[in-house]
Amino acid sequence: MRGFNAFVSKELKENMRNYKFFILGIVFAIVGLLSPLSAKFLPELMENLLDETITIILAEPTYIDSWLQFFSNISQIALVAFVLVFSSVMSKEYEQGTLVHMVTKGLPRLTIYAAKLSVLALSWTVFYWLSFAITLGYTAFYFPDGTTEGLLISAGSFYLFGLLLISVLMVAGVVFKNTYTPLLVVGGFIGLLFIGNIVPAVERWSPLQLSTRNIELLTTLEADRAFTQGLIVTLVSILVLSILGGVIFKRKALQ
Amino acid sequence: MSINFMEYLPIIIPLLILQLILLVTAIIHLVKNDRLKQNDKIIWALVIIFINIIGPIIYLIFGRKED
Amino acid sequence: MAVLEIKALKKTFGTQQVLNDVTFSVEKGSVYGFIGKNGAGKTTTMNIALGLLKADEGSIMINDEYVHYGDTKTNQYVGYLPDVPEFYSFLTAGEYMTLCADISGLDKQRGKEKSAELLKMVGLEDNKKRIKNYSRGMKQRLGIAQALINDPMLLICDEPTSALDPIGRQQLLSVLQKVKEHTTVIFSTHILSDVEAICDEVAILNDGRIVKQGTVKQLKAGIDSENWTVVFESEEDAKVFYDILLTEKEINSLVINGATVDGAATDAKKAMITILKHLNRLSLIPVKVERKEATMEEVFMEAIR
Repeated sequence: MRGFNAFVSKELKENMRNYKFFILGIVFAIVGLLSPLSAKFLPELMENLLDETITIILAEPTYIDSWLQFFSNISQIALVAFVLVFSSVMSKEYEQGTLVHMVTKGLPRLTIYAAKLSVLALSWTVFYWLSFAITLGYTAFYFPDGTTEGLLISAGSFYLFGLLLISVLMVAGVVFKNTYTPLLVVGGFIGLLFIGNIVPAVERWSPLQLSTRNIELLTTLEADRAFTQGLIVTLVSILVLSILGGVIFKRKALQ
Repeated sequence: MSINFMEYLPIIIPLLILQLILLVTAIIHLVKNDRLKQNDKIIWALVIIFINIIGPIIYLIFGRKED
Repeated sequence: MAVLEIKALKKTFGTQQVLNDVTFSVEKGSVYGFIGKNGAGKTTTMNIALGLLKADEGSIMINDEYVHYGDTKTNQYVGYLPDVPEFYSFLTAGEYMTLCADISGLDKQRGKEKSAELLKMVGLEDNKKRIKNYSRGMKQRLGIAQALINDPMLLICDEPTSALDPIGRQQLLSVLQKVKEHTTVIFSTHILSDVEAICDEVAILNDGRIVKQGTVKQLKAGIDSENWTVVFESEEDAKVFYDILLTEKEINSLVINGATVDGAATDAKKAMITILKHLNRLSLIPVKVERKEATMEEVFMEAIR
């Protein structure tokens, strides 16, 4: 446990000093602010820009629009930034040979892996829910008649989807020793999920639902069978990938 | 124009502050950075100042040359 | 008691056999030199001992425990110093030492004292700079400090001096001398003067095999050929002596250079008797007659021939 804590604290220092936490904090906060703003502001702007003679009926935006913006921004901006920033989580250690000194001090390889995975998961947790909290606050402020019902499962499922991508990133980081391949693997993984959706049987089990059906969950307030299946597949995948990464890392050359 | 800017101030002000923090952090780092040549510094300064949000981030990730 | 015991170690990379039946053991309290040319398999052997590489065959024991690839348990007895150490560049030397102390399981107070002591020893005690601003030499010194943080039973140094300037080398060798009291040291090198300076025992590795091992003294004594020199007052005396020796079979590589005659012999004692006999018979009075001990260079060259 001493070794784990020491390595986690090294990781935290590293991410603090190389500005990764700083950048992600700002990006996630901006996403949190931008979502209710664009939900509220864009329709109003459109109305003003269009000629008065043309009448376009734009529905009055609601709290749902705010969350629609949130899930769209968090997946297209924040999660992408997160994966980009952490794509070098393993490759930098491999490249510089810095892990050699850790294992030759007797630090178990699994501890190193677990510490890195934990720091990624912890960062995602903090930044994601920070962004969520900001959107939540401003949504309540600008759309006072909205409710928070169904929000936890809706936002929680995207949170799990993020964890899934992190576990994919870690496995890819362990296997491929450069910075770019893990990025491609995560991108390819999402691509495969989208392609899989062509087959209805796959779609009904796909983890992708956790990132695409958030608004549906918010409006219908209930998870159907397909969603539950997707949730189970996600949880199992996170577990399996995390263990797999550790097992591979245990047998991997470090230089 | 009937957009009521006052209504948006509570959200725009923090947004601007965040951008400013990002900008200032990157600029301070750039000025102190002795690993970059003068010419590169000028280019980075332009990138940081004129490419909103993304500019400072790109500098802090790829431009520092510290590791 | 053997701290490190290597038995019948074999390793191939692709079609190239890097280690072929390497066997040797390092006794407690010695400084063990592991010599070989570049590519002889020194680093490979050490990496296997550290659990960083998988052996094809054979076994390694450290402190009577087997080393397993991917496992790090035996490394708690070990300190490791590579030729060009790289550390987390965003930490200061003090922070890095604290990290190492924590990993090694030292308690907080002890870790603090120990890292302060070691950093002082290598002259990095009041350095608030981050490691990214360190020079090669400073990194190497930090390398020694971090390798000793856990009071290792065995210090493994992989060509620690090859990247250093002469002053840095001297410092490093004197540190190794110092730690010898309570730590067994194995260090690989191709710099033979380092070996003569600090090693008690030596193994010579060539083409993946141990071709010679023993104490420095034994190896030197075991060398077939020994050099000698006779210096005369005049060149004429030297020439006379030289001509006579040309007829002697046990003398070889005879060279005359002014008033000096150099040569070698497979049996040094017998050769010396012959030399003295001729000097006596010819009534030549030399200025100096010297039997020269074999150098490590000669030991090495003969071993890898």
